[in-house]
Amino acid sequence: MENSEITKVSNVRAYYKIFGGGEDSRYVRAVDDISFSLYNSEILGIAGESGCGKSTLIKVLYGLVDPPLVLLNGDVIYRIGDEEISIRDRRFKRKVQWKVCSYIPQSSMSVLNPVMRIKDHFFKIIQAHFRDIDERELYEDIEKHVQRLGLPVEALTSFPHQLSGGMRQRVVIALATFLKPRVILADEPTTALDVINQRGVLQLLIRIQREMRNTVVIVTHDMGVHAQTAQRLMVMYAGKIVELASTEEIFKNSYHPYVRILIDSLPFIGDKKRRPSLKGRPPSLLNPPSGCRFHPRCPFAEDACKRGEPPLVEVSYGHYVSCFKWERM
Amino acid sequence: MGANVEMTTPHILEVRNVSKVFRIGGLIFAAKLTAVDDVSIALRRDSAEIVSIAGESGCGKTTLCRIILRIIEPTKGSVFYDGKDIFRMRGRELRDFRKSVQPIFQNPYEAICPFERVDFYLISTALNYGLAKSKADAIGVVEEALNTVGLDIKYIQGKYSHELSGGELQRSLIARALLSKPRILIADEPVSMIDASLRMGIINLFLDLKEKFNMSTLYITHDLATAYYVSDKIAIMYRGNIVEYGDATKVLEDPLHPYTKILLESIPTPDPYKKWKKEVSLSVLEIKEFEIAGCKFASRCPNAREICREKRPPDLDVESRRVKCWIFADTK
Repeated sequence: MENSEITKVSNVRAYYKIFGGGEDSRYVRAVDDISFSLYNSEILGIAGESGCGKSTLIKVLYGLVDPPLVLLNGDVIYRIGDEEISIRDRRFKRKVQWKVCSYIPQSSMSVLNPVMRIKDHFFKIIQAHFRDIDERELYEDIEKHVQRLGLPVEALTSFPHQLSGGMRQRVVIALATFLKPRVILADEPTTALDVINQRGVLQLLIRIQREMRNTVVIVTHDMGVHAQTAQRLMVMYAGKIVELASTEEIFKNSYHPYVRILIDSLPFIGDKKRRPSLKGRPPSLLNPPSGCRFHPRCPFAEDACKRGEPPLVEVSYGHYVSCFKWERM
Repeated sequence: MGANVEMTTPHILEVRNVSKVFRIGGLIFAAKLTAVDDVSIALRRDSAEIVSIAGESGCGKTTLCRIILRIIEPTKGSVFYDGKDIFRMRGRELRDFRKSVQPIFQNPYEAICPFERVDFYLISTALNYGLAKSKADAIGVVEEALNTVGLDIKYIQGKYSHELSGGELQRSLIARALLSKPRILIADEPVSMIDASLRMGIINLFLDLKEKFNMSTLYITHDLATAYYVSDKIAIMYRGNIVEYGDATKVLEDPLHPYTKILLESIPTPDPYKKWKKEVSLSVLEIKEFEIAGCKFASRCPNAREICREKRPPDLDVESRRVKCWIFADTK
């Protein structure tokens, strides 16, 4: 892993505004005071339950802060050579999106325009960034690119409905990687696929990352996918980071009770031992509990956990935990 | 449709050579899609068991589940409950079948009306089934069912479905299924919409129901890890066929059919020290695979031979399980 930072996320608070404006507005605290860095040539996994804010965080990373989502505090800075560009910068869309950072959205099966051939999707994106391009040369480049990703060239002249789900997903990955971005943000890239297609798509993403030496962020709730793909893993709970470390550390030496119970509850073939299940339910982000957000479900919670928010502390090199009682684990 | 079989059948539920063909497309260019193709499975009568039906999306699991629940009729074959053909049942017999075989659906939020309170839904179900004569009796019946699934009537009282977590609502719906004290639960992907931290609570519940109440479950899933954890037997489906059927531990720890092997290799194991080694080749999944004359897996099978492409493989008994593959025909 080359340790130079490519993206810095600092104190981001991204809330969904509900009930109109003015003093009556209330906020769903989807991403609440999150700071971390993305490094060059790494695969970072973001794990967490549905509604914990992981997809919102990815949207913020890509600068997609549209109402009702509001960025109340903090910033995301991309380092491009000597230049630093913030997502709040007006040039961000043209300078960063697709070229420096691309986004594979959730349910990317339905992001392709049903009445456009696959090749036209490529043309549209590329022509938005580069003018005066020779279409024939460009088509040859597109052909080479899709072939390198193991897609048949005929897919380019097809309409999306003529391709299988796994194939459409690989087309979206081909689109996202054509301009050789430094950062690829993949939000649940394999959720709608069956396991064999899932493996193919993930292995493709890993191969692209190795070849291009870029940074990939994979968001999924499937811990198995993270174990297979991610080098570093960030676990979120109720809008906060609860643990961030190398994937091996998280699976072997996690210190946060939520992460520990989550990993212990994973069934796998070869072990029929009874697995535990967490009590209670994830909190509402409209009115999250005081102190540590996990305290109502935590078997180790004490009074201190109800009163104050635990800071994200580095407990060993590169291993961050947000828990007062981490030593007990 | 088959005739009713003897009452002394060793199976409480038996699916016998069931096929379901759907017509897709227009009137002129309609194609036939065999979603379920000559499937036979059974649940034992003498002791409760959990049988999993596993496979990729579109392999026919849900269609089979709907046939067993008598929601759709099969094109061929029969389903017997307690020795009687369910598609010939009428009146009281049918009502008893509906009480004894209860469904649990994938998405609990879609299975219940969002404008109805959850407790009202459970109480009215108890009254509609004739399980209680008065509302007070019904509350008692509902309370008993809720206690079985680890919930309390006071907790769900007055709450709508959106006010409960996915796990709590799915538990409430399992309680609804338990109201009539069924012998069999048909659970169609019951945990795929549930958050990871709550998932094992539901899965453990099926084990408790089997152990404490002698209740069998037909567990339909695409998740082989939970199928391994919970089930006694497993049927692996591919394009409408059961390709391997037998003891869950044996099938999943030592698979015989090439498809089961590939499926198992592709599961993302939650262990960063056991990473995937070789890349899988992805063939374009064609709808035509449903119509192939030979083995439907032949185009993707690393061990395919000439006969595999030409002739449908028979069901063979190999190492105390049923395997649909020509490879084992030579050894028989």
